[in-house]
Amino acid sequence: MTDSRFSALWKKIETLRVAPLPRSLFLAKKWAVYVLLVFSVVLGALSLAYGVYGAQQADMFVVVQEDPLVVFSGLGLLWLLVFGVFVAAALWSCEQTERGYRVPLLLWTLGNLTATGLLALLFLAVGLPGTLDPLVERHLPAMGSAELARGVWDREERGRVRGIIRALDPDLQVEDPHGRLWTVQITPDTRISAPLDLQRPVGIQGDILPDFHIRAGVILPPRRLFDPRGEGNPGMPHPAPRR
Amino acid sequence: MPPPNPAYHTKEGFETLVATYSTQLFHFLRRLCSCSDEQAEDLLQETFITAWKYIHSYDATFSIKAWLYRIARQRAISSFRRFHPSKVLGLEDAEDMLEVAADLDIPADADRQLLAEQVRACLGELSVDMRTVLLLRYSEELSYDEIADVLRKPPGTVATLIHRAKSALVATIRRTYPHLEHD
Repeated sequence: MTDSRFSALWKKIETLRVAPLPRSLFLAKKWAVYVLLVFSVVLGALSLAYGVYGAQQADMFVVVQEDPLVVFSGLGLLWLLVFGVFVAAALWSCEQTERGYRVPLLLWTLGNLTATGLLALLFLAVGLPGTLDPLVERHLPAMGSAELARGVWDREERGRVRGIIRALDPDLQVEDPHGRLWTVQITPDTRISAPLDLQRPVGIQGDILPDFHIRAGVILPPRRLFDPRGEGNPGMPHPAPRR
Repeated sequence: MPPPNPAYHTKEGFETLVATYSTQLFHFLRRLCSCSDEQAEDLLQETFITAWKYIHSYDATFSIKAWLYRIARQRAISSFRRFHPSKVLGLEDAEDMLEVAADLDIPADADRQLLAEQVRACLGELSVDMRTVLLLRYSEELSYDEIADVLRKPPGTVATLIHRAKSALVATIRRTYPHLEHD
């Protein structure tokens, strides 16, 4: 009976040309959730560590807020995306794998978040965000390359110039990294948070006006010491000829 | 994932698998679906063809028996759309029915054959999940862990489901055969 049953079965398998699906397919399905787990933990830890690092460097958010915020929120959003995919994959895995119910989704999720926190602490302990920061600034500028080349971000209320104070009287003049002199208009609404001394580096946010004028909304110390020739400041392009 | 038993994805290994489990699965399918032998044979073929196709997904750390029963159950449930099974199970399952009856809270002095037929008839009235757990537990004698693997439910849930299924079966028997009520 069994022999004839197997013969009939095998004949049908051959007729239908049914072949076992490749093992790699099932391996990929099984390991996808683990790969996503590692990916989301590392990304989450990086963004968390970088966020904490940024919070510790208070001026980082105040003076050049676009750079770290864009990087931080970019990393954070990417982490959220990967984390979401991970949760979905874990949910799928819980339902699809053998005895998947033995590893509840909540455990996967909490394990992921715990691992993320611990790894972020480790990153902070070894100073990884501080090491990464210059690389981030170099490779992920908040401004587009065209704006970066000009040294300004020409958006109303959010224009930005950084440079060194070259004159105080009759107008405040700041030399940007490309050697261009900017005339800074100070109004009663201008918030001045940095001493206005000659040769002092400052960052200015405000309205960009024609002919290298800027109406300052806020004048702040720059994030780090600034070399007008662009040396030692890998984020800046080679200086343009002086006007 | 540990490597699957290498024998299973060869023709010879698969033949061993079929030889070992085909009879049990055939009876399980026939009882679960209350279908004819021919229909059960078709379902059995479908079960093994599916098993052959997905043989590499089998994780050798778990019971191959539970894996096969899971496939068989899935095939049985999908077959309900094709044919409408009778709610009266096959007459040759009297011993299995008595196995079920022995664990129920009904008078022990009831006529064995009559009781078996009554249990059989009432079992057909239960939902597929309840019928499945009772058959797997009492007829196929699978452990709670194996049933959990078949149903993809935690063993605790399986225990609850078996308890509910037994209660439902007793209620159905007493409603259908009031003379079996306790004095």
